[in-house]
Amino acid sequence: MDPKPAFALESPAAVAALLERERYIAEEGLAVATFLALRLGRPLLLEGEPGVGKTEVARVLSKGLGVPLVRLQCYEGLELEQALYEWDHARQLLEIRLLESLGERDLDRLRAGVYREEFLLKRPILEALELGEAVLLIDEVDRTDEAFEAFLLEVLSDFQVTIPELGTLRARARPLVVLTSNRTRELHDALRRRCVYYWIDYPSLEKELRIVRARLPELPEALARKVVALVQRVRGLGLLKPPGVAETLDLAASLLALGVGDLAPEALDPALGALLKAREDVERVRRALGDLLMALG
Amino acid sequence: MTDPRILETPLLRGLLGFVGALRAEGLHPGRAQVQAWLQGLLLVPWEGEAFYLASRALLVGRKEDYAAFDRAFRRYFGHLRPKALPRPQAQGTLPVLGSGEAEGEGVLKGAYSPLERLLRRPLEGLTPGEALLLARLLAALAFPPPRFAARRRRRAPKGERLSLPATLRRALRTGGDILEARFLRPRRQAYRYYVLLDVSGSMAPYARALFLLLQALKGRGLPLEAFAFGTRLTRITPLLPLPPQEALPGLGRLAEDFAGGTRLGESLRAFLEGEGRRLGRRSLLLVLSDGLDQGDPEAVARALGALRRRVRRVYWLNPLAGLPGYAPLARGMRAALPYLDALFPAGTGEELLAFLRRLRDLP
Repeated sequence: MDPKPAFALESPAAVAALLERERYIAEEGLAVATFLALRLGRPLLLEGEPGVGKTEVARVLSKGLGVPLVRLQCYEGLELEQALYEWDHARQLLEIRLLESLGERDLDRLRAGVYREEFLLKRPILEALELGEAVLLIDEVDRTDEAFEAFLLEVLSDFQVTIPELGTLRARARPLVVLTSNRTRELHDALRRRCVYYWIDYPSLEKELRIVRARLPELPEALARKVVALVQRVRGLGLLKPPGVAETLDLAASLLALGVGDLAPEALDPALGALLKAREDVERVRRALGDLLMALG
Repeated sequence: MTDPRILETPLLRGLLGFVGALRAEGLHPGRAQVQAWLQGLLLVPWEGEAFYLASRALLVGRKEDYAAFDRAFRRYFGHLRPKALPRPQAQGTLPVLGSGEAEGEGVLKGAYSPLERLLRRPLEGLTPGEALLLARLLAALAFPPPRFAARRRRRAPKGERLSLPATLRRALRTGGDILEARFLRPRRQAYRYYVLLDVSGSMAPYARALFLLLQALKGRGLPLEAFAFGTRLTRITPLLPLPPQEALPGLGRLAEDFAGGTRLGESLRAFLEGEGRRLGRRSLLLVLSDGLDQGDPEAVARALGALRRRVRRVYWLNPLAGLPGYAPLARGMRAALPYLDALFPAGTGEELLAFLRRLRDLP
């Protein structure tokens, strides 16, 4: 608990207002969890179906708080070097040559000459620790392996990193850490226990409508309402990849771009690709579209 | 006087009992999680669904456990009725408040939980049992107490500054080769709290609740020295470890001895001359008083001015300061104002909680 949390917002309502200023409509639960993460200096672990806006939370928070967003995109086989730091070997070699050509023969001095911070390539985690006042987004943490998770756990509890050649670098202030997971793999309990947790659900109709209105104010309200109602029904069809909020926004934007004034099967068809990302899903929705639109009235 | 049954069901146990309810549903939050939960409760305003949502965010780590959490929450805190819970049932099982509660269920009807209502009520109106529960809740929420980085450093395997002597000494073990660096990091120290509690006539309705809070804080290990004052100053630290049934009558007798008057300046000077030498940068001085003083305001200013230079912070908690339209007009209060780091209202549990929160934000 040594470095103090970097941010002070006085209430969950203040967090919600901050998010809303950046046009992110948050459930109260997300505002409360974010507030606690900020104030307790704990990482925020967000889970939810793809497209519900997990990553967006980090982006919007960094904008709202006015601090840089440092992003670590996780993938299978992610190594520490890509997350933490690497020595810039090429430049180190050049430096050695340079020192030699200047007549430097002392081995210790050569060594000291190349293990300096300027030859350190800082990767996201180190960068965020150094900035302190930053949002560190560790995106899709479920894609890494367990060893990397254990390492993350260590960094997230101490907020310091030891570089053998340089010593220990500590965060001056705690960055806000946001972890997202799509649950392709179960995260370890120890990591979960360390975090403030929130499951982002699909929004209710009213909430999703507010999101669409906030993001696409030029879309007529009646049309927006129909689009949202349609998507909410499509989610109930049991598709392979149910559309998230991001897809709702894509569909609405496509309709705007296509100049569609009202929802009709023919008008909708070309825009379905914005909503659905699997061929089988497109087929299914296309068949059901007439009924779906009828039900909307 | 105090109902012993309430003594056996303190609110803290009530809160921690929820962890037991979670276990019954198969959830096992870790100790660090429970601690973060209590800390989180200290931070969130207990409004709307924040209590429920904060508890869930800190005690649950996966969506699959939401349902079990909701069942436990409904069973345990049924009266909180968060909107997010599908079917709220009014089945409060938290054994908290005394039965003779005047502003009944009908008025607020589930708008606030008993805990929240307890926090909002004036301290003077609390029954002894309620005051005790409140004290334990506040003490539970106030922990761990703030620590500050001391000037002196200690050696540590990790830290921010290299300790060359320690590194070299360590290197002797390996024949002079430096294999392991040793560092220095600042010591973390707890503040020492000096509390002056006004027990004169005008403060009598509040003194009991405030004393119970001091007891609860001390009971959790807060380094705290307490003094009661009216016409004189008496050290009451020895009363703090006693059970309330024994300690409170002792406090009452003191108040009677003082025959209701307040001589603030003299009491402060007595404190200065007695404990004054032991004060230092680790010390926080808290004065709990309404500032109604029959003594010399000049003496208040002189003594407090001298104390101010000897401690890190001087805070004044005044039970009246939160009342609408309050202005610090009482003579003692007015004389003290220039020497305070802050004046806090302390008339309800909520106000005390706000003060404890501020305390935690101390550097």
